Amino acid sequence: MSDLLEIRRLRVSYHTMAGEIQAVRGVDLSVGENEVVAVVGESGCGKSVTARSILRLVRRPAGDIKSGSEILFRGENVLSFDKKRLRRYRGGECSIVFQDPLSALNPTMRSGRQIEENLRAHSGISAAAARAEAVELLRRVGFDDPARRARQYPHELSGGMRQRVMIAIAFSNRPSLLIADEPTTALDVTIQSRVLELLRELQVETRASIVLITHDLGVVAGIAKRIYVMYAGRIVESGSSEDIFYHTAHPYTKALLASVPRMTMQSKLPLPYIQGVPPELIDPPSGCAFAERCALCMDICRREEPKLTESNGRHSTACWFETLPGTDGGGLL
Amino acid sequence: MSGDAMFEARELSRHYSTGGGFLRALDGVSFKIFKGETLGVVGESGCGKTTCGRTLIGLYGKTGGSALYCDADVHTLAGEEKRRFKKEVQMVFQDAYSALDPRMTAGDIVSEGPDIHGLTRTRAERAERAVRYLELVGLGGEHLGRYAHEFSGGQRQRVGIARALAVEPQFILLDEPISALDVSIQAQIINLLMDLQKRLGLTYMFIAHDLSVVRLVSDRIAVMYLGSVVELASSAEIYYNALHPYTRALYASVPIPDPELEMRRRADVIGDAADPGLRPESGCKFAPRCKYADGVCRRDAPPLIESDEGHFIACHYPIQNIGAAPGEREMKF
Repeated sequence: MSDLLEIRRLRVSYHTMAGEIQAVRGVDLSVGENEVVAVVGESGCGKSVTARSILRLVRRPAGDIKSGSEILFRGENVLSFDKKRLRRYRGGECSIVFQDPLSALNPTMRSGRQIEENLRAHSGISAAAARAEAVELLRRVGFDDPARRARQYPHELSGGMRQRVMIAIAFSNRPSLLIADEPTTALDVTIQSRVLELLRELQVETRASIVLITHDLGVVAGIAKRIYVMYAGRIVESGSSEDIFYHTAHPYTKALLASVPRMTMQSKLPLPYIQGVPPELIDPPSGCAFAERCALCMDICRREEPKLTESNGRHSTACWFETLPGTDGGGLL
Repeated sequence: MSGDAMFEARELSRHYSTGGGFLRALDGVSFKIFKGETLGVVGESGCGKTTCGRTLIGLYGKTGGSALYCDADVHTLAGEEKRRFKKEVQMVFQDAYSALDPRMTAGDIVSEGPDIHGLTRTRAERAERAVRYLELVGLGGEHLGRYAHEFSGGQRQRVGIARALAVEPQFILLDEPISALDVSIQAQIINLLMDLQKRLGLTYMFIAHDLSVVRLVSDRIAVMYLGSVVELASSAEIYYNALHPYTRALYASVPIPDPELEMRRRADVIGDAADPGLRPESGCKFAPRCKYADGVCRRDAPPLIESDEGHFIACHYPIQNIGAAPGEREMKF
């Protein structure tokens, strides 16, 4: 089976007053047809930049997708799309849901109109048909009174409703690929559950693939088939959801997983957390980027960068502790 | 428990007049906060938890009832008493970025309170105090001259905490202090807050929308819904023996970082977060979203009664104790 999306050697930099920030430093990532893939990591790890690159939303001149990077959508390189091809791709074959729907939606346009706009941009559908379709989409994303909601402006809707309007827009042209960039981070937990449930349903219904970007491993557990863990612009571990949650290999993933508050934790006791902060990407360290924060750090970790190495089927880790003979990462952390 | 209540809300209300009527953001709540404890306040956006905290400490005027601090009415304090109150009662905000003046250095931000209350006399003393408080929250003295934009999200929140601490308060209102942070950073800030409480004997009111987090830091928890407290009990009671359907729903909405459990979890909630502007004319405010609601619920608002010692609940049909914690397993309710 060939992949729907294949990212090869993606490198993205931002030029700032302080220098060139290497936000993404060589990412390989693939998404199959009808597959939900999550990209997980802390703020500044490059996950959102990766997501935006897929839609070519990295804006020049500050942002710079380095030459040698490839983003293949059904075998075609998105980075060499011309304007016309890009228009068909964005919002048609591939769409995106952003973290903050209030700033992503147009405040001066009724929510229905914003859906119609995307529908009409991609097909010869009539205005009346688009209007009807927009109402139908709003019904599909869970509004009991879609016709009334279609006439409302974003500021008249709650955060969860706005995010559902965003999802309606994103799904309006039945995309093959949906990028969801922290779609629930700005929402209450109760609403987060509903939005995740909705994404899950729509995925099953439309068989669209989803790339879910988040900092919260709890959010991905119920929806992602495969997970990529990013740190300091690189993938440090990837594998099936079971690999990542039950056979966690990289010390960073373990620490990230441990820091999710769980219902089984005792109250009023200190929580496990990750010491320190990620490195500055203006001048990335030459060894493993996580070395400074890692409890298992060895000499080689500071000297040489570990390669992403496949250990078991599609489960890969970039960690010296896991790959060097004579060491055994299992069960220590 | 009795006697040493630091704060007491008695039928405290805060109504806003809107175009056509009143928005009852805080609708007659009563509770106490005892010296040295953490009272958690949990609920969705729009439930009035922020209004509750701010009205309690006199930041917002009240429209009914009273807020007492050491038996004195918060809203009529004057002169020296008011001055002392403002020193003893501090606040930490959700969005540290907008809570810190972008044109002030961390040192000036932390020193502003002590300046106002005349706690330092010389420049050297002032700087020494600022460094001491920055160090107390885990930031080195080298951060003294930095501006808000030079800090990461977690560090910024630490500056906000140092500012609150610098006037040696008795009480801190923590309004969603970690909601804007990455999961990995949340744990650091929670640990810091719990540690500071122990070392300095502080009393907290901790507001958040995520019950899994509130439970970990609180001694007692008040669950709010549309301006009212619907359940109030010790953290353990809320965990092992939650009686209100809404509290159960809040538990069920917390994602579990474990694929097998998470796939089975059905967040059985409950439509969109209630719009504080649209509320039932009579009866229980939660009735429209509650699957147990019947004619009685829609007719009569349930009063907040003490069902067990220290366990208060406002529900006509409290959930029978199912004898186990709603931990990491399928929720049944």
